[in-house]
Amino acid sequence: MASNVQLDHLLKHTDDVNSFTKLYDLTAPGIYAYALSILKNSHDAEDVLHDCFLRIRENADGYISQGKPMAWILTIAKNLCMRQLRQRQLSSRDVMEFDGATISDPDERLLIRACLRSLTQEEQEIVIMHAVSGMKHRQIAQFMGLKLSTVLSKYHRAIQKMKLYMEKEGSQ
Amino acid sequence: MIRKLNKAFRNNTPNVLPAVLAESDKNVEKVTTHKSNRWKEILATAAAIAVLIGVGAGAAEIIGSGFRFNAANDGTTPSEMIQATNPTLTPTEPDNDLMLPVINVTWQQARDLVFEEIGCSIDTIFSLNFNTHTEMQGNEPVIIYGVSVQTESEAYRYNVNAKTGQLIQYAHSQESNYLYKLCTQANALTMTQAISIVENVSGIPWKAWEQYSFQHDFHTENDHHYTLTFCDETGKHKYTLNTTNGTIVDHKRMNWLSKVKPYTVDDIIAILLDNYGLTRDMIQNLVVELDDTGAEPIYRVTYTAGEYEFEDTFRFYPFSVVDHIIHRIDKYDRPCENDSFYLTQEEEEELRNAIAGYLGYPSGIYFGKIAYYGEYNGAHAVILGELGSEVVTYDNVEGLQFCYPTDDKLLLFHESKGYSLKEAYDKGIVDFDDLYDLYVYHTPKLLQSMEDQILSDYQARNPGEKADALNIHFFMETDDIQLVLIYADDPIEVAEGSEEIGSLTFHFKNSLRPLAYQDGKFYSIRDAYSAGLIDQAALEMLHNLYSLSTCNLY
Repeated sequence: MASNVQLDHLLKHTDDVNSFTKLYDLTAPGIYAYALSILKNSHDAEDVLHDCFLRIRENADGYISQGKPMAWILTIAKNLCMRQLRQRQLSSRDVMEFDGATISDPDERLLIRACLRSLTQEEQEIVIMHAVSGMKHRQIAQFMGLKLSTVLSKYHRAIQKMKLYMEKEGSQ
Repeated sequence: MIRKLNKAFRNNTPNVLPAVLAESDKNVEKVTTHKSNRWKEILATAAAIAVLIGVGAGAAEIIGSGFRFNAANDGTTPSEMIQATNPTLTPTEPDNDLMLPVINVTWQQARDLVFEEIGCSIDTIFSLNFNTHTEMQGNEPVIIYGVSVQTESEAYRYNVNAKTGQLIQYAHSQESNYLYKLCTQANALTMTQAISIVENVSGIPWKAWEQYSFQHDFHTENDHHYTLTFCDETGKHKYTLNTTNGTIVDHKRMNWLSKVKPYTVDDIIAILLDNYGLTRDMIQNLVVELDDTGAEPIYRVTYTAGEYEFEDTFRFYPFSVVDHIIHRIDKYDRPCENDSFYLTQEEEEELRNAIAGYLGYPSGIYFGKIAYYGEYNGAHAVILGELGSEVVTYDNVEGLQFCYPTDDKLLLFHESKGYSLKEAYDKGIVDFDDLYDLYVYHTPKLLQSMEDQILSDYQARNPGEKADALNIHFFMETDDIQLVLIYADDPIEVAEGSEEIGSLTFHFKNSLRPLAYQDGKFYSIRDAYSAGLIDQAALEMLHNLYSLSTCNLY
């Protein structure tokens, strides 16, 4: 997991391709997973991932470090997701829900399905922000506007739910 | 699971970096977008909605303190426990008149009767266990001693009538005792030698030992322990010795007085205070019930202390602690301590090995009572149950006070090594944020009685505030001063501002200003600091905690 200091440094040097690549490597899975949890569609999530990094590169000059780089990045991703959802509504476009069929590794497919299918929207976001983006529970609480105890509670319950889902699906 | 989920998303995130690098041009203001091929969606199948099994857990509500027993009890109908309205801890004495069993044969005499019957001595047996129960013979309660003896190759179980001395053998079997052979081969101390050591250490002569039991615990080939448990007139003692060198490995003690008369409610409270590390103001919602529906009367006692609920069962006569159960009060709808690990089998196995290594038990350990508190910066937080004494204890790290129902404290396991919270913090394994997350998850609240008291005092000084609309957020306690934030459901005034206190800048939000509380009086933080009620270290801690907390209050 990347530290805030490391991400802050990389955000200040996005002009440098190596730094930007490193930033991408560290944060892309978290952004993609977060977008996927909101949009439920891998292609829309991929679009958000792409647009999000374009925005980051465009706007990194204006980034002011407040010790919350991942929250800043996810705010961009969240705004892009909201835009996608609005466009979806306007176009009345039907969206095929992500089922992980394209994931070749069965264990990984089951794990991602467990995350996206067994959890509520809020739980998915909490788990992804912690497990994939590496955010601390307190940062997640601030980002989502929830109490820390609520985040901790939902997080631990979510992990248990995923475990139950995997046990149930794995035995079939 | 967390690491695997991270890896799963990492392995399955599409690589859009080349497209981003190709499209991003710092000189072009408009952001162009990459679009994926929508036709692929046709290939995707609709997902079934997973059915989740919801488990609803209801928490029993404990009624307020104060109690009395019904006046009439003929010994055959249950005693009714009646809740009194007195909100303070002033229990009335039971005025029922239970018939007591007659004891003509002491435990020592019962033991000697059994030894004589078997033809053995204290040095020729491998283990000895003792228990009592009461049988109703007609309307008369009779105490029965249960004596279990194991020799090298045989196991016996006798019942002895404490009134008549009648001896009834009801179990005898041939059992080759593997541990006995190991013990003999290892040149272990004899039982007499072990008893002699404990006599010297405790100052209690063996002849005074009641309800004596002796166990041989085998950890590894070279690590044997004797566990000697006995009662005397002051309480129950448990000594654990190394079998080869006689070193006392552990000693636990439960204090109570050997009494001819049954214990009163006050006796019960005294035992709670004396043995469990509790103070009188820590005990809340105390209910004592005398249950004589079974063959032997018992006290059932429930109470809360901190964020734990306790259920104790005390044998009425002869007195002993039968059971001591602890529940976590699930105020925040959090998983309870008995929830299973949230780890994969491999991760759980890894953690088990780390814990066994930490404890120095190469042959493993029983993990039935382990409490798992999650992963913090790659370190697993656990409390190992069943190993500590049942005494309420505290852990203070960086101003955060963790309360425990036993002396088993939180440990952090990282890369197969175990650390106390302080060690993990000092070594940089977890940072303050992790520590604070764990603190909130584990010990988030002030004792309910203290919360109620503070709010009551606050409301008395601010009559305009509606008591039921007030909330309290507890930051920390230092030198008997509680640093709290009291806020209404709906803030009356919305104002933000900064204040410099002790070289630290507090950014107050929505008039949420922390207060210092001591002995019914409130102080502003500035006044408390200026008056020396709180020092610089406490102020810095409050500064950290305040900025962490206030953003979530409104």
